[in-house]
Amino acid sequence: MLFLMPGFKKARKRHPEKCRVMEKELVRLSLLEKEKCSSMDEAAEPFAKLMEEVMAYEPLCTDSRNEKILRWIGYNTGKWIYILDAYNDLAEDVKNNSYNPLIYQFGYQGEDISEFAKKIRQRVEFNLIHALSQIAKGYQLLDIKQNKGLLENIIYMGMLRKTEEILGIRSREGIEKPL
Amino acid sequence: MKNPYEVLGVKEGASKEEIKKAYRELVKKYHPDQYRDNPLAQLAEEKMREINEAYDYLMGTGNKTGSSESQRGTWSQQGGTGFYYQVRMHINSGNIGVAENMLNNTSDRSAEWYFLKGLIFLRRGWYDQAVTHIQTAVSMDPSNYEYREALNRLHNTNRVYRTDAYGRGYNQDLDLCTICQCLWCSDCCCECMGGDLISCC
Repeated sequence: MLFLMPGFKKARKRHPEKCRVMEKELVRLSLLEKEKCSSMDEAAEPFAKLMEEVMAYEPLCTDSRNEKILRWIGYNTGKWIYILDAYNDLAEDVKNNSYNPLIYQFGYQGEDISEFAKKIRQRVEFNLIHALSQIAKGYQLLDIKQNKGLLENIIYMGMLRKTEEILGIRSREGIEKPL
Repeated sequence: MKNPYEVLGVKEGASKEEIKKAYRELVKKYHPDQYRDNPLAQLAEEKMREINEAYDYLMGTGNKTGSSESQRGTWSQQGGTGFYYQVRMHINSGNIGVAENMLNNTSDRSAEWYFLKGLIFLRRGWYDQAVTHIQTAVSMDPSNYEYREALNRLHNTNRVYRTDAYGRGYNQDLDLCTICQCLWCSDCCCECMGGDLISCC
C-alpha cells in the first residue's frame, strides 16, 4: 500500500494537497474496482486524475496557462498508462480472476483470451492513440526550451512504440513517411 | 509583443519566403480546427493570434491575417432548438458541468442530444464514450454534416499524431534513444503504480 511506502510521510508533509487528492483518487479507484466498473473511461478516471495532480507540479506551473496544459498532459498520460496496462494484463487477469475494465466493458465470455484481445484491439487502440495525440497537443502549446529532443522522443516515439508493442501491431512499413 | 522571429522560429533576417514557409507550418499545427472540442482550444487560439501578429509584423503588411477568429465556434451558430443552442453555448464557453446537467435533465434522446453528450465526454477526456455517442448521433441522422465531421475530426486527430511521429523518424531503425524511452515509459508505468495499487496491473 502507498501509505506504507517509505518516504510517504515526507512527501505528505511537503505536498499535503497533492497527497489528499491522490488518496481520494485511490479510494475512488478501489471502489470502482469493487463495483466491477464496465467502462474504460470511468475506470481510468481516478488514475488519470492522480497523474494530473502529479504533473501540476508547482514550480512548473508558472501561470494558469501552463498549469492547464500540464494538467491535460498529466490526465492523458494517466489515462494512457491505465488503459495500456489493462490491455497488457488481460490474460493474467482472466487467469487470476482479477478485475479488468476491458473484460467487463466488452463482455468477456470465457473465449480464448487472445481472440478476445484481438477483437477489442482497434477500439482500445483508438483510445490510446487519442490520449497520446492530446499529450502532443498540450506539449505543442508549452514553450519548451530545454530537453526538447528528449521530450519529443518520449511523446512521439517511446510512448507510441510501447503502445504498438503491447497492442501487437507490427511496424507499419506500408504507411507513407512524410518528407 | 514577443520577438516575432522567435515566435515564428526563424532566424533574424530570414527572407520573406522563409517566413512564409514557417508561418504556413505553424498555422497547420495550431489551427483552431486542430484544437476543436478540446479544453486547450482557447490557448491554441491565443497562440495563433501571436503567430499572426508576428507574421503581419515581419511581412510589413498592416492587414490582419487573423484567420483564427473567423473559424471560431462556427458550429455553435447553427442554432437548433433554443435548448440545445444554450447547451452548445455552455460547452463553447467551457461550462461543461452546466451543459451536462442540462442534458441529463431532459428526456429527449435525439441525435443532437447524443452529439452534444459526445462533445462533453470529449472535453472531459472520455474518448471511448465520446466516440460511442457521436457515432450514435451519426447513425440516427446520417445526413447531418456536423456530426459526421466531428467523428472524422476525432479520427483525423489520431492520424495527425501518427504522421507527426513518422515525420520525426518513428519506425525507422530502432535507435538507442528510442530503446531508452521505451524503458523509461514501461518503468514509469510499473513503478508509479507501486505494484499492487491497481489490482489489474
